[in-house]
Order: sequence, then structure tokens, then C-alpha cells
Amino acid sequence: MSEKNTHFHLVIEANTIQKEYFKDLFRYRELFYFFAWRDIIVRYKQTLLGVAWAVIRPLLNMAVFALVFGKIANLDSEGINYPLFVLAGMVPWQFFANSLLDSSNSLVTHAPMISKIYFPRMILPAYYIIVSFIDFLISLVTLFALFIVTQTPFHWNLVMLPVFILLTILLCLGSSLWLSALTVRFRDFRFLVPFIVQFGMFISPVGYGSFLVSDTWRWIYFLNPMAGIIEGFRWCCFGVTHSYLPLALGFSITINALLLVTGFRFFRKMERLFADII
Amino acid sequence: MKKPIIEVQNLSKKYFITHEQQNPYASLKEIISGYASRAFNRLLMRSPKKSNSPTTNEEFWALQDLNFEIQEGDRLAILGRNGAGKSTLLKLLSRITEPTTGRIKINGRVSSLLEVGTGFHPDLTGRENILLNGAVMGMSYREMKRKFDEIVDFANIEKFLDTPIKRYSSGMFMRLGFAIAAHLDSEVLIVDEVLAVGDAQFQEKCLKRMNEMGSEGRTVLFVSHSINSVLSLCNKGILLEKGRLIAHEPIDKCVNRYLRSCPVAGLEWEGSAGDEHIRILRSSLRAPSDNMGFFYQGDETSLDIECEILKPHPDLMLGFSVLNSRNQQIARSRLCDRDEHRSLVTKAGYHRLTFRLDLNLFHPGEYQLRLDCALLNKKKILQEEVLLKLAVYSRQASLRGELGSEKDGISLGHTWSVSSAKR
Repeated sequence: MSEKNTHFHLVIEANTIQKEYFKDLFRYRELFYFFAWRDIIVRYKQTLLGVAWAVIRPLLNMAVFALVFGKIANLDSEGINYPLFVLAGMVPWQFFANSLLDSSNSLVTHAPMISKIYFPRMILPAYYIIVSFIDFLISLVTLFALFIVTQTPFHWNLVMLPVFILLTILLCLGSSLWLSALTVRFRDFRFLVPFIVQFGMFISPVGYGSFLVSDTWRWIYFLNPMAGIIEGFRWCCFGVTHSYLPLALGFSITINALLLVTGFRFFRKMERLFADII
Repeated sequence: MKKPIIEVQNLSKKYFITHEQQNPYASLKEIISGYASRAFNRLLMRSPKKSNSPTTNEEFWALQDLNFEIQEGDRLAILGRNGAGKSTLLKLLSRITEPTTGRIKINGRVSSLLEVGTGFHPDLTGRENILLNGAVMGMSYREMKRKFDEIVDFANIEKFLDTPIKRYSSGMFMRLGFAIAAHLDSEVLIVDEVLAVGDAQFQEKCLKRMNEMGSEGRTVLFVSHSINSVLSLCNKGILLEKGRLIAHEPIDKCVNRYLRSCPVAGLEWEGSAGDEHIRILRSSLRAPSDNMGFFYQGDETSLDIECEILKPHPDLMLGFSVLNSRNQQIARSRLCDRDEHRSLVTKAGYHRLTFRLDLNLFHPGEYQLRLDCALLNKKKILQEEVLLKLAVYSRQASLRGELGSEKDGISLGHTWSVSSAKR
């Protein structure tokens, strides 16, 4: 037992951020897997269509957007099949939107647990991202299936896709650290986040391409970090290069990193208060 | 000398009590307008006015300057009345909240059972929940696998392992929750009053298990209001009062001190308790004939209450409850139970109320009479300020030895009749 004791020596002190936080995160990694595994199992329980929803949802959205932007507004898609063009943007956007919606609420929905048990709270917003990530993978397969159905050739740029997927995950993490901690303090964010997600879809190149945005406004447009990522996805899928792509990516990565670092700090600062104010 | 497993130094925890004019969750608008007005004031070089902010926070020290050490293998009871800071202490020790000042050193893993079944997911089966809950408690999958059979056996739920938890009875739920916590390999187990629920048989099983853990050299911290379970489990106790540590000593002494710190109950109470509606001034039980301080079954006594009604209120309720030795309410009587009695306390001024008490109604045992006073469904005016002791013994020699905490209660009388019957 003495061996164990040295292993788990713990000092709880007032007003010091534990240096061992990362060690703790690692120690509780199984909890993280378990949460994700649990929610993946439970997610489609008692639904009629089950996992099929992960395919149906982006397809439905795609159909609506392709109809509105492609057929009615008759927007240009640079010669790419419009539904396919929309889906390539819809897949990363839905991943971002779903994980944001779920994880920003994660601390509040787990309030009873937070006030009864210790674990690094960061696990909560993080694991929701993994749950949405599974859905994302399924819709990615759907996207590739649609490539085959429409007989669109796979582009070589697709090997770069994992980079953009990683960027999306990091962006989800950064923003959900901010939003989940803020939601504990200000419940206003429960109403604000769905709005951000809804509004964000229109200021991101989901239903249309960024090339339609005029040059003067483009740099403001790309302040939205998802805009760069979605353009990156399209570039991977179809290989159409635009001159603004490096700018978009540069903005996206910078804001991403900023959100991640500040989000982590903010979350750590708020974490000690969670149990008291939740 | 052995190294203590838990060291607590200068530990304090402060909470802010927010008052009614403020929402429990400050809305964004309030905070922003607060910032804005402060910034505006600074801009105009005005000194900030205190009355300006709508948030009147009152400091409240839930714990103040605690210092103690716990040795490995101790089974420590944390005693104290409601609001003494027991739960806060447990929360600090299990790292749920951070202390305001001071430090805690723990040389080992802590698993805490502040509530049974925290982290259970209703849609998952018993099997899945056991594995999940292990992870919640900070145990590895491998450890949980190893302990799995033991847990299932202890909780006695083999048949329902593959049933979703939401279909479990509350008893099964409780058993499973405790079983998991009781089989964790941590050096310190923290248990908060979770045993109050569950049937007697299971409670006994839990206590036995915790005893075992203690003899295995593990440290158990236990909060309970049940003196019996505290005495049977713990070897040391600490007593908290209003957030301060009063004593840290062997359990017998500590329990004794705790019981003495509770309001002293006698045959008579004098003082002043109440609020702006009513003040209770005196309350007494008419002394038994031989003035021994206790009664015999079949005696008769009366409860006198002297009170002053300051502000008549139609919902004012006055009455008393009878508590048994385990502090459970077993009987009561209130003025408002009958309409014709209601008018008694609606007139301002001094009143004297008398209740005739027939002690045939009590089995031998020790009881407390607690005066209850409230605005019905609105506010409790008296908590436990006025308590009277009522000890009832049997005149029958054969029953004297039977005085035990399980035997007391309300008697249904003696209307037995016996007749010979043919088979």
C-alpha cells in the first residue's frame, strides 16, 4: 500500500491551479472513453431509424440547400454537381454545429455529477466532440458514396483531408471550452448557442462558395474560422484552387489557436467555481 | 510514528449567500450593465457607490480554520448538527470544490460516495453501468473487471445485469451504487449519509462491509446522524459546530459531546423562541407524582405551553410531535387539526395551552416532545428549539429489561380478549 501512497500523493490548496492537471486528465482518460462510448450507445437507442439518422440528417440538409441555392437562386458551383458541392461543406459544418450544441450544454446537463464527484471537468465538453465525431465519420462515408453515385472522380488532394479534420476538432474543442464554461456562469448561452449555430451556417460557405463573396468583404468573411476550414474541405474534395485560400486558412488557424489557448485558460479558471455555482 | 493519511491545515471555505434581489444565476445583462456603470463611473472619476450594485453578497463561512490529521486505518465519524459544515468538508476532501484558504494533503486515492448512483445512466444496463461507474470513481477498467463478480454478488442483482437501470427498483439501484463504491480499491472512502435509505438488512450489510474495509487498513470517513451506526462503525470522531472544529477524539467521547451539544431536554423549558408572529415563553410537562424525572406507563401528565401571540395569522400552527429515541417522529397533535381549536391562537396576547397526555399510549422508552410552530405551508417558525424529555418506564418488572431502542413506540392499547376455541 505504501507504494500506492507515493503514487497518489495529492495536495489540495486554495487558489493554486494544480500543476498536475494534465496528469489528472491522463489518469481519467478511461472516463473519457467511457463517456463517449456510453453516449454513442445511447444516442440512437429508442429511435426507429437508429444510426441511419447520421446519414439522413446531412442528406436532408443537403437537399434543402441544393434546392434553395442551386435550383432556385441558381448559384454557381464551378461546374461541380451542386448537391455534392453542398454536402462537402455540410459535413464539416454539421460536425462543428453538433458538437458545439452538445458540448456547450455539457456541464449543465451533468450538474448533479459535478456537484458530487471529482474528475477533470474538461472531459465533459471534450467527449461530446468525440460523439459528434462518430456521426461525422458516418456522414463522411455518405459523402464518398455520393462521389461514386455521381461518378465524380476522387481528387488527390483528399490525402490532406485529415489535416482539416484535425483543425475542425481543435476548433470544436476551443470554442466548446469557452462556451461550456460560460454557460455555467451565464445560462443566457443556452439560447445564444443555437442562434450562433443557425446564423453561422449562413455566414459560412455551406450552401454556396466563398468565391461569391466580394473581394472587399472577403477578409471579414474569413474571420469566421469555419469558413476557412470548409473551403479547405472543398479544396480536398474537388481540387479547385482559389487565390484567397491561404488567407482563409491562415485566419482560421490563428483564430483556432487563439480560441484553444484562451479557452483552456478560461476553463481552468472557471473550473474551481463550477461545483459552487452550477 | 505513522504518517497521517490525511492532513488538513487551516482549512476554510467561504460561500457567498446571494440575496433575493439577485438571480442565482446572474444574467449577462446584469453583469454587463454592472461593468458598464463601473466603467462609466471610473471615466467620470467618481468613486464607486456601494448602493449602485444590485448584488448584495453576504459572506458565509461554511468551514473555518480546520486543523486535523487522520491516521491510516481510522474510521472517522464526522458529527455535527445540520449546517455545521459536514457536507462542505466532505466536498473539499473529495475535491469537488476548492478551499478558500488552507490546504489538504492526502496520501492515497479517495473515492467518495456522497450520493448513491451518481453517474449512472438510466439507459445502460447494470453491467455497463458498473464499468462506467468504476471509471467515474477513478478506477481502471482492469480493476473493475476484476471486482465485477464481487460487486454483482454484493448487490445481489445477477438476474438483472442486462436490464437497463431505469427499470430497476430503487432498492436495486441503491444496492448497486453502494456495492460499486464499497469495492473500489481506494485508500480512503468517504461516505455521506447514504445509508439512511435502503432497508435494514442492506444497511447492516453496508456497515459490515465498511467495518471490513476499516480492518483492511483503509480509512473511512463517515457522516451520519444515526448514532447507532456511527458507534458501531467508527473509532474516532470529529465534531463540527458552525464550521469550526470542536473536538477530535475517540468516538465514545465524541458522541457524548455531540449529544450534549444538542439542545438539552428536560421536563421544563423556559426562554423565548419564535418570530414576529408568536413567542413561546414556557413549556413544561407536569412532573410525575414522585418527582423522579420519569413516568410510568399508565400515568397521566399534561403538556403546558405558554406563548404570546404578537401578530395573529390565520395560518399559524402550533402543536407538538413525539420523537422516539432515533429522532423519528412517531406521533403529533396540532391545534389546526380541528377547526374549533383554530380560533385559540388567532387572538393577540398571552395564552396558556394545556394538552392532557395519557401515558398508556407509550411503550417503555425514551421520547422527546418537540414543539412545532409554523405558518402552514409557508415557514417553519420553530426548528428544534423547544424539546422536552419524556422517559416512560414499565411498572411490570418483567418488561424492565426490555428497554431497547427498537421497542419504543406508540402503544395500541391492551384490548386483547382471550376465549377458548375448538379446533
